[in-house]
Amino acid sequence: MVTTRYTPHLIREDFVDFVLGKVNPLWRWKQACARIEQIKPLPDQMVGITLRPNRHLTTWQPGQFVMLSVPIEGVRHQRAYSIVSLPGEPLQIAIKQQGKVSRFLAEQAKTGMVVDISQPAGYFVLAPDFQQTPLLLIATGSGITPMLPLLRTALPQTTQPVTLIYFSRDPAFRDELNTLAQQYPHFDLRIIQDSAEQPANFSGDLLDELVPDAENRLTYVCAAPVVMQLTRVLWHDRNWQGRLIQESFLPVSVDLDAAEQSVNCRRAMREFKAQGNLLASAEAAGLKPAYGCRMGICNTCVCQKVSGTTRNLLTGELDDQPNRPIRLCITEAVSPLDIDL
Amino acid sequence: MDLSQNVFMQGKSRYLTEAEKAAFAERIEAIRDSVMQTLGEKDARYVYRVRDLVRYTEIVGRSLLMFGGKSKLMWVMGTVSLGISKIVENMELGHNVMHGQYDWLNDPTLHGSSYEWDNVCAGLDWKRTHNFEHHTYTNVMGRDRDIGYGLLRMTREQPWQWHDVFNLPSAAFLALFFEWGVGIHGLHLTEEAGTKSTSLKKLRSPERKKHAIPFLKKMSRQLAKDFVLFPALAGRRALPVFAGNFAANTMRNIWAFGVIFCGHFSEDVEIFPDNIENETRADWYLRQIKGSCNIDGGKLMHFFTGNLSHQIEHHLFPDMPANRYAEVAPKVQALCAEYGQHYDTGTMRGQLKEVFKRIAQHSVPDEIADRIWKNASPQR
Repeated sequence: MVTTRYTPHLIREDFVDFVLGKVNPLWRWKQACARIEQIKPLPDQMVGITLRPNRHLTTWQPGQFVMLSVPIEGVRHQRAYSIVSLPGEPLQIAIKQQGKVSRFLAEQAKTGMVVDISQPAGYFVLAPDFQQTPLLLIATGSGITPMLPLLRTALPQTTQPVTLIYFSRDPAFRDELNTLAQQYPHFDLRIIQDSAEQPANFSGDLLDELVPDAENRLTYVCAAPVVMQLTRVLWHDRNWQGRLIQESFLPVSVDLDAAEQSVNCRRAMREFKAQGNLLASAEAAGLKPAYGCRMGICNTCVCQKVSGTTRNLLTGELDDQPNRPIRLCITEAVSPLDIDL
Repeated sequence: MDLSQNVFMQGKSRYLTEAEKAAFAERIEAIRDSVMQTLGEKDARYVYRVRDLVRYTEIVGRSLLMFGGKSKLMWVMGTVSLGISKIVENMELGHNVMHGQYDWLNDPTLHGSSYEWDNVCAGLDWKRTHNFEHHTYTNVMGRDRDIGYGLLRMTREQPWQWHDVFNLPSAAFLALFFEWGVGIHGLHLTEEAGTKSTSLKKLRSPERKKHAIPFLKKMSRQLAKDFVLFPALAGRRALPVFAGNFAANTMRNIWAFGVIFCGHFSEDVEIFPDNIENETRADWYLRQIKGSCNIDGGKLMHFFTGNLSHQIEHHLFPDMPANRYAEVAPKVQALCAEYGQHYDTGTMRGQLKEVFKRIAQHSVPDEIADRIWKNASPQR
């Protein structure tokens, strides 16, 4: 229950951070943050960024991501980025200049700037028994970023075949990948250069041609939505779904078939009609809830549901309990709701 | 025009037809939308500057108290600085942030759901009693617990009891310890909102315990900070630090009491019977206007009242960043004039005079009040 978990602070954390920050911008009481040490352009409109985190950042597993928060026009924006480097190396991410945060980092961020950073998270990591299983990695564009640390960790430790299918217009990390391919004969590197006219054309036939034993493999996919969808359907149809791990940093889409529900916001004193995720519906109604990742990771848009039934758009789970925290970006109303927004 | 159904007729506002009400509500929402669509960097800068002011005045205040030596002047300056910090934190920062006015900044340290203010009232309780009960049922007898804070008789709807003769001293007491009044208020000790029989025995029931635990947690931390931790850090200067912290808290209490009572209990403010079940959105807007009053003044007045000097605008748009109320106030006032709705505004001195007159009038039985004050308005 909320009441028993309630623990007000004795000393305000942001006040302590404010004072510490005057001494050293990287000093914080609890919050992890990092200084931008280097920004360098990469192929495929990508930018590599090296970060120096403060001591609060814990170590990561290859394949995990961190969330960076940057202030853009006064508003904090947050985005998840896969860590390209291995634990023990300097923290590196590679970003593609497409979203708001990525464009800001690529165009306006300067070395020396300090940004808030989340703890490493994510399940896109090697299985404990990966040495016994052949691996298949499928990436498009910036989806290559988590593949690099997975490959660099797996290849020296396994003798099983490892295949990477990588669709890109202008493959980033080409040199690193080629070096790995030369070094490890059990690594089958398949870079498929596509173009605007001929976009990535993934299919069951292509899979059978490139990786005839895909059935036996543990497969990791981090790719454009169309490839994510294709692989999900294909693996499902062939009854391999337990052997597929996907990573996606894309917002949840709105399902227009869902019925409209009225949602009452107790703090804003407003009511709105919700369809699909509550965050987008609230915004469409002129409300301004806080948000972060918009895909259920960061908890920024969390708010208390006072009453009503909701569905989690990621898991499909229904929740009819009163006074539960919900993440607006991945929650759909299936009954009229009363929320503490 | 059916007078019997219209509870609003008692006040100074004109009766509106359903069509007029709907048009009025639409114009009110248009005012809101025009501001909410333009929120951005300017508003962000404003709230961060307010927070910086809170921080710097706190640092200066506590430092002067701790290291000011024997100088009385240093003690006074330190206390005033800390008092200002607490006032601005409670009013322009905490109250507004806890309404969710700055949620859109996506900054977890300024998010309404988690913000905890420098006050013994638990943020959790405040959001229920204030944000929900008071703002939804503004001035509705039996629903809005802010009518007299369970301590004072503010309307004739509250039956007179003998201890109401102490209405004025009780108000003075409430002013001195206002944060405690607000904090205990959140415990729902009284049977029904607006009634006055507070009993500590009720604390033992499980329902009360649910509210009591957060309050006890918050209260103990506040006391520990101002009256144990900082005096202890001051060593031999513990006593002046203790006294300064007490004085700063009292300074904030009196000011907050003044602002809040000016906002809802001046002479023309209406109190409504509990028949709001079929209220439309437009009725709600009208009730907010009739149940609130503004304080005239310059920028400094608006700032130190946490923009509650724009009480009417705050009640119409509780989630609009408070730094925008000054900009919408003339528009709201013009709209009210156009629709013949009374827009109550006055200087703080004038409003306070009315508030105390009201408290005095309700300290005696109504028949006596009618004899003393010939124009004591019958509806309350």
